[in-house]
Amino acid sequence: MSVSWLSYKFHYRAMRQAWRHLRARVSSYWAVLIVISMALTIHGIFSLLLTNAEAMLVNWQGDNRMIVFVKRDISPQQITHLRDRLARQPQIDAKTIVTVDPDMAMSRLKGMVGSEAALLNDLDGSPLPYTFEFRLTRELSTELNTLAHDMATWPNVDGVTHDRQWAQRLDAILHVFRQAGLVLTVILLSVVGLIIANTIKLTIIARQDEINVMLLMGATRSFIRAPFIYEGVIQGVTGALLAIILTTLLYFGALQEAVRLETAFGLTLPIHFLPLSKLLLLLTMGTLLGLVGALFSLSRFLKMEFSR
Amino acid sequence: MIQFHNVTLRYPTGHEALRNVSFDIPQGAFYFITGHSGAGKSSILRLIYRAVVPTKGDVLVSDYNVKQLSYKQLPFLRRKIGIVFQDYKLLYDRSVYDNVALALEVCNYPSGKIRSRVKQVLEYVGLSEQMEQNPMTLSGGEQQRAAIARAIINQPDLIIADEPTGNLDRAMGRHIFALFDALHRQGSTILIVTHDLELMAETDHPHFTITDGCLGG
Repeated sequence: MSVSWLSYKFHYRAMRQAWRHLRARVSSYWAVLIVISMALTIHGIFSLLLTNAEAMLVNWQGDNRMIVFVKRDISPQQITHLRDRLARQPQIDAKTIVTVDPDMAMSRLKGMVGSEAALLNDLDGSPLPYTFEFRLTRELSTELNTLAHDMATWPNVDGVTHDRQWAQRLDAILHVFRQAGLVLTVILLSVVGLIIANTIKLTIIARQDEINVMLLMGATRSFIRAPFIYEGVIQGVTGALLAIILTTLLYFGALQEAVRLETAFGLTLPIHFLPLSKLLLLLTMGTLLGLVGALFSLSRFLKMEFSR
Repeated sequence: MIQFHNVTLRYPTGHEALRNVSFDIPQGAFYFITGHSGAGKSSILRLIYRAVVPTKGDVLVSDYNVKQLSYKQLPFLRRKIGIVFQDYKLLYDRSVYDNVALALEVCNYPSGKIRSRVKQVLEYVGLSEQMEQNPMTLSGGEQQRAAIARAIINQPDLIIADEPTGNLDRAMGRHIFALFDALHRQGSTILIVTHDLELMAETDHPHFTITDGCLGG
């Protein structure tokens, strides 16, 4: 009779044993579960923040909009000349060029400040310059800065801005966040892995007599290891599920706050939840943590026991 | 069944437990090993179930050379051996039934047949009434019988026992020896380590004597 780890009965028995182990020490199981779920929730929150920041970034980048600020006190002919020059640029979608005169710019500003707009009535005319707003013909992520710099040197042009500048800055900040998140995740997961490994080691020590007897009766390594591996995996999976629940609750909390801010300031704050792939990643991380933690504590112990 | 060829066993502490020991126990035989405490009797058993590896020489058990055994092969050697210990090595967190059934589970015995097989063996050793009890509540003799039940449930080719009557009174010792005799009559090879010469003398089985790690008469 050979012990086949591929058989259903083998795994059923291992799972039953693992469940028995966990029930025998409920308090330490919960302690480990809380640690795993906290670590994975921190990772989940980080992912949530990054997901939303990245979505914001994509929106900004997708806009592909540019604004050219014109110097003051130039003639209408010069304005027309500048507009024609812009329209001739192959990178600019000529149909989208909008000339915003100072009065139009002022009325837009009044619209933005709302009830405080009356304060602007005291101004003698509009102090705002002419601007040209337009979209680019295609994605120009690399050439964008060169184009903006080039246009800024044209006669009568005071300055050039584009959404990409902000997107690039945010992207740089996000890059730092991603790296920091990665380091934090690795540290947290290593700590959690060690905690799982130690907990399983304690279970192994507590069941040392049983393991020794089973080894003397001819138990294989897989037979001894399987319940402990399941124990680690059960802890990892339940910890990950708890982390997903906590992250979801935090997301709904943030959503409520966003609604309040939207109402108060008239803003639009779309908050996205984690995509399915990231939720599955959390679950996989929990499973792997449990698995690696269990294997780590088992490898040394069983090597020692089998060599006795 | 068991062959020792010039076996020397030195523990990591430097203590030489066995020196140049050679013997041959054929299949179906019943042998005793005697000797004073610390003579090296238990070391012979430990070599047979490969709890230790010989420093020199070869130990052959049921066609396995224990020195060359890989960890993957080791369980399959041990399944051919039923081991009975002086301290019983029963698990006190479960019933007698579960203790005995564990030996079958370890060998992936069909789960549907475990209950009937355990009942059959416990009946054979006279413990069917105590099946659901915790071994802690049993007498020394009953615990030893539970340990024997666990050792024989897989119908091993070889049964080895280390001082199986060491913690028992004379009457219970006789009872346990009678049990081994019955198993021998059914074809098992039996090797018992004992220092109870009186009980041994009541049987007509051959014996080896170990003195300071060397084999005598």
